[in-house]
Amino acid sequence: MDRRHYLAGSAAAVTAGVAGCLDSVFGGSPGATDDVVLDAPDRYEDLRESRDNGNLTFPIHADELPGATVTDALSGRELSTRAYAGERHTLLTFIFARCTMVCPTLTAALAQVQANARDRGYDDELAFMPTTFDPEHDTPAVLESFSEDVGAVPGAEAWHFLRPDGAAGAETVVTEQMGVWFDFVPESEREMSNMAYSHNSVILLVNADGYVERGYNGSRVPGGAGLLDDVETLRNRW
Amino acid sequence: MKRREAIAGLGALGVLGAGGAVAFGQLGNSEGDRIDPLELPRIDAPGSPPGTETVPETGRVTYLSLFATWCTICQDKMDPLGEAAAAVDDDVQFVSVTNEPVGKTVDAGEVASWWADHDGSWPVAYDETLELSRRVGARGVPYSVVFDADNRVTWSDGGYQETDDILGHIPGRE
Repeated sequence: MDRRHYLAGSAAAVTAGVAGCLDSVFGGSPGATDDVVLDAPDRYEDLRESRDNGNLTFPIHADELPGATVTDALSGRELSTRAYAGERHTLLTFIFARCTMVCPTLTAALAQVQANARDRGYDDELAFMPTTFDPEHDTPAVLESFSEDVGAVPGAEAWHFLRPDGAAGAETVVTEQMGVWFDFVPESEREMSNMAYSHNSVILLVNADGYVERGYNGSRVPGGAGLLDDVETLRNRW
Repeated sequence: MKRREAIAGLGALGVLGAGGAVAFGQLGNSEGDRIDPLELPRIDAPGSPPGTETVPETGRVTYLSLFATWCTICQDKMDPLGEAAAAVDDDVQFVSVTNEPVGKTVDAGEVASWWADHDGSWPVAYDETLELSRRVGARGVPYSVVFDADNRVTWSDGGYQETDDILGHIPGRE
């Protein structure tokens, strides 16, 4: 790795937050509460109001990650989304593997973080929980191959592809418990034959205390570089 | 949480942040931004000899296409890219860069095979530290950027483009 470029990149990523940080260095967390360490996101008050009045259904900055117990497709074991609370930072996203648009991008961003963590020896600080809402199509073999395709190591200790039990299980876990909306699109209404669902594009970055640092959504979803920068800021402040 | 360490870490980052801002300006991809060149490892593949590629190269117009081998739109874009690459002269740097973790969890040979399978015939490199993605503000692939000879961004956009769209953004090839 080119050390100089790496440092420059990290530095730029936090520049935007510097003014806010300096004020709060003496007053506690730069986050909205003491449960989080990343700076409160832009328009946090609006987001919080939407969240509190129920318009925004998935967790955001300073929320506790909801617990849902789901099967880890590759090991076959039951796992809670909060399994690593108290131990590791956790990254979650919600996808279907037939998707050729945003889903591989979301999962590849997690894979980028995994690859860099392994390379730099901090993979034992992180856990990954990509979650399918299309379990009938997304068999363990499909999810393993999808993980590999986007550059992840699905056999790694803390790469858990969560696979709810059937369509009803997906509805319960993803929509009701995690608050991430998805909807089946009948074949006749699809723009592309493989695009079987419309859905929220969400990545959750959850700190090792089990609180959400970032609930990225839609146009705020970062690529691998942006996600990696936020993970590294979280690690540095933890 | 170790609050005291969190605060100490924050202070250090703040100091570093100020230096970073001076070093190369804002993040983002707005037109007119001058991007400091990066030296990226090339993938040994058709049209792409072993070595390094400086992106963007000072003194030449650069057409950069960021891609990933898992990306089906990037796959579809290989034909128009090939036609555009064939239509430009040596005074344009035409280069593709994958943002995949090559050398970490993705093997360079797999990218080279994909490149050959999709008739790639121009230099292809990988964004080892994701620094190029950061500098141009790319959050996904495919993502294309045109730089003038002084490394200023003259155009950038995500998604598929036909050959004429690609050439239409390269000065002198419109």
